[in-house]
Amino acid sequence: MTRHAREPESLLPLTAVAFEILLTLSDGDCHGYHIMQEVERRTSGAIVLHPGTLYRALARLLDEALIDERGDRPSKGDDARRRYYSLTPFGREVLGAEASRLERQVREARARRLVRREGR
Amino acid sequence: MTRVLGWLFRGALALYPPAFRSRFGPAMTQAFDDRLIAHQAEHHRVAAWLFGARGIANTAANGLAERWSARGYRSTGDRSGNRFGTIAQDVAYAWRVIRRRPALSATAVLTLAIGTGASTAIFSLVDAALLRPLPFNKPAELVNVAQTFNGAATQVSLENLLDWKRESRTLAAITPMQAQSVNLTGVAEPDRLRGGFVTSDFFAVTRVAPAIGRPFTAADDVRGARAVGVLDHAVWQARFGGDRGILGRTITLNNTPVTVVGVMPEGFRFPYDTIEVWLPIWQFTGGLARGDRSLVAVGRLGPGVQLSHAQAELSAIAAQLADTFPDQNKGRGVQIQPYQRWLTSGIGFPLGLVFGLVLLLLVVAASNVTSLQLGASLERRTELGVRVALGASRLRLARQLLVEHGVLAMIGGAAGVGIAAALVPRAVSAAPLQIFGLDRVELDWRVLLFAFAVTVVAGLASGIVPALHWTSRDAAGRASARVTADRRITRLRSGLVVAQVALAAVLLVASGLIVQSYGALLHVDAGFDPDRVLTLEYRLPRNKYATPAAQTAFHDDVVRQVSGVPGVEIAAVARALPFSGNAGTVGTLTDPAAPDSAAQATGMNTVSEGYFAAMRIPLIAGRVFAEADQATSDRVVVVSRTFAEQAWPGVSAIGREVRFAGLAFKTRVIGVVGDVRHAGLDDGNGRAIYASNRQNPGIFMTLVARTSGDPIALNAAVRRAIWSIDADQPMWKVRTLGSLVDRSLDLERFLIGVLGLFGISALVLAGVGLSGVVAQSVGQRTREIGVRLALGATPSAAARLIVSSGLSVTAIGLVLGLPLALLVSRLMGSVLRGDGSTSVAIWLVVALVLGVTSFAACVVPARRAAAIDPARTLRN
Repeated sequence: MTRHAREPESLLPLTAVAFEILLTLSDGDCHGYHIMQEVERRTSGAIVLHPGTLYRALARLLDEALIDERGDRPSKGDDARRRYYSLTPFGREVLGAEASRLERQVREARARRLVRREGR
Repeated sequence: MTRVLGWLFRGALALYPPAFRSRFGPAMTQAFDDRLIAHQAEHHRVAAWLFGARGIANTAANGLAERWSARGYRSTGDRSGNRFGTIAQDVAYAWRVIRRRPALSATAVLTLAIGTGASTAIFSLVDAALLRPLPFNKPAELVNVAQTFNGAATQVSLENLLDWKRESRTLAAITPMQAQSVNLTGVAEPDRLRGGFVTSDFFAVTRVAPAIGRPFTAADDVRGARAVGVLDHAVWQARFGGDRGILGRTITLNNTPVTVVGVMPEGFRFPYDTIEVWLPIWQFTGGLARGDRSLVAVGRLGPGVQLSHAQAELSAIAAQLADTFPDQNKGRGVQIQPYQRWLTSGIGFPLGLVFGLVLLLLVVAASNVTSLQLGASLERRTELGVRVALGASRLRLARQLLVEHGVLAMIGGAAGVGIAAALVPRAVSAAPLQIFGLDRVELDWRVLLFAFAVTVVAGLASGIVPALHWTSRDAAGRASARVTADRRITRLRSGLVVAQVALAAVLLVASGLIVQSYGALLHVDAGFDPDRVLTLEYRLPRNKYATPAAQTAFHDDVVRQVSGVPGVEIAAVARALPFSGNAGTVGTLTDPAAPDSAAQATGMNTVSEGYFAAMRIPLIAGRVFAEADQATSDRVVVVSRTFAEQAWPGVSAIGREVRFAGLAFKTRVIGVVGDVRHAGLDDGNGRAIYASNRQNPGIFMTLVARTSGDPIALNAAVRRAIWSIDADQPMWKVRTLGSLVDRSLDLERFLIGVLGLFGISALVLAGVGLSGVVAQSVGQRTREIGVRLALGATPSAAARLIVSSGLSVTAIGLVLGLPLALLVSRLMGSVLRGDGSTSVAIWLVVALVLGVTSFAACVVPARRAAAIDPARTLRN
């Protein structure tokens, strides 16, 4: 696709939802329900994905070719309605670009001593 | 539950474009179901349901968004998830539009603020008084149990209550509850405490245990056991310094030593009365026999027990009791109802009515803003047209208009919450005392949520009409369609004004009815003169004044000592003062041969010689009581005029015999006095009989002292006079008779204030709405009016044309409002008092007021019409 010729930076900044979805898929392929659970767990409930938000975001990411839908399914006994998604190489690039952008921002914030230490 | 949510979810999926739905629908459903099941396992049912509902709302919203974007309505730059950017853009743009038209925006904000503020304020009252559950563990299990006689609820006798408790399997606990003041002595200043008389079940009913010490046990319930008491927290703090050593100490209540065994937790309040000390029921000084029905019963249903089951069971038990004790229980049943409903039975309907009416005001406000915005949007035709020409989709325009209204509504809603915050304390202090729970009124999250919901609905409602209009095909488009579109807007606005006038008429009629009812009550003759009368109550300790002679002697001393206080003209005592809530009823027989069953209910009072003079109740025939009417002399009574006329029509009542049902002795009528409205100004039952306090002594009395000056100034002197007889005798409810009469009109005054405010607001809003529409129609008809003027019409005829068009809108509104107003006045029937309503007169007054307002609203546009220059109009 011609879209692959685009610079990853042209898609930045990603929405928080898109970022979290890509981050989840970077660990390996998974289905929608698993993405919901994983995002909620990782953000301690700060981001709760409902089906509407999730699938609309997935549709956009598919359009932009950041993710792909897998034709096969990992295990036999799985519910036939489930769909599995995987990160495309371009998606991985975009995710990396977004992460670098965020890191630059955090670095700026840290330089101003704005970052609070968590826990401990 | 899961199934319902599943259906709703599939319904939400229907909002997506078919292509999206067929691609993702099954996976979305799968994810939704999995999610819900997982959530249910971990959370409470309600939480899971809410979670599911949020998921559905989210899915529906995204479905709409997806559908719009699929139709190519996406604005440029609306990339995945960048939606927020455009909304921010919309809000920023809306803010610019709002600021560009400060007068219009301020009017809209103010109008919405009035609507949301008033409804939020009323909702906070309704919420506190009616909706919020009582502050007890499992409050839905609490019930009121009443006895019934021929279907009407009566109070309960202790013996019956104890039998219910013994027999019932549906009630987990049941306690009598009787509030009566008790004398606290043995302290520096004797005082009364408000006592609450209960059984040990009280603590099981409320599920509240004392904060320190112990609750009552079954052993405490036994008559003659060591007298114990549990203190209210506030009294413990105020009178006993919060000393934990109070446990086990003895205080003197009603001249009896009572051991304090516990202190209730801070803030505990049983919603019946403010109780300061809880005591076992057997210490109650009133009658506790099976025939004495003087108690309120509060129970708690067993877990999972249906109200109807408890009712059926208790009815069966009552039937048995009627068989076993026919003398006391024949024809008597049991009625059980949720405790909260019982508590709010007097106020639920008036409050609900006020709430319904405030929603009408809200509708008026929202339709006013709609009309205002429709009119204003005409001036924006060019702007909107340019945006369409530049490629803005109709959807984008609609969203823009909705966002504008949303922003205005939010500002209005915030201002409304401010108005509510200012109104609520006022409304609470003006509210009648009988509204329980008003001390709980606060602008908490429930109220704010209501305000938010009202704001969103009002904003959407006022924005949807302009949005639909401007996105219809011809509105913003071709010039040829413009005239039609403008006419349509005027028609729409006229329709909205008609609705406003109709609803304003309803609100004005409602407040008119209340004002009329209040006015009628003010002119009612209570039968006595409430001005310059000081009253107070006291109850003698029975073990100190044991004999009737001792009690009579004390009351005599009170009358004598208080009469001697400078400034007191006449002093007297009475058992039951009118408007005080104290009252007695007896069955009387005026036919010597008639059986007890023929007795007629009659209001009963026991008074001293000077009572009728002190109250200025006129003597119509015979004489009033005298010192010669002693306990040992013939029993005599005074009857009211109505009593005399009903018993002995056309002949003198003096010397006739009256017998009391269930009592052997006879009494002779010595005098007839004027009727008194005992229970309130609308109490039209004039049947009353008076006995002399010497012949019918008792421990409870009310002092009545007519004074020459300000009665309350004599407060201290009168109390000192009574303490000169017994320094240990507490007294309470020191107040004027006038304040009692005044208090009885609290509900009317509250309703007048609230409904009057609604009515005036609606009137002003309708006037503003009409004025706007008429002004717009003048603008549109400039050409037509110009032609008329050119053809020889006079300017005043042009002005008349405009005024009559405005008045005809009002007339239609009045006609349409009439049936609704009739419905509301019928609904208000139970709230209205006095001698019936003449709603026709009120309707005419309201029509006149609206007519005058409409005329005033038309004046400025009409003058503009008269000033139209025909020559210039025709040239253009």
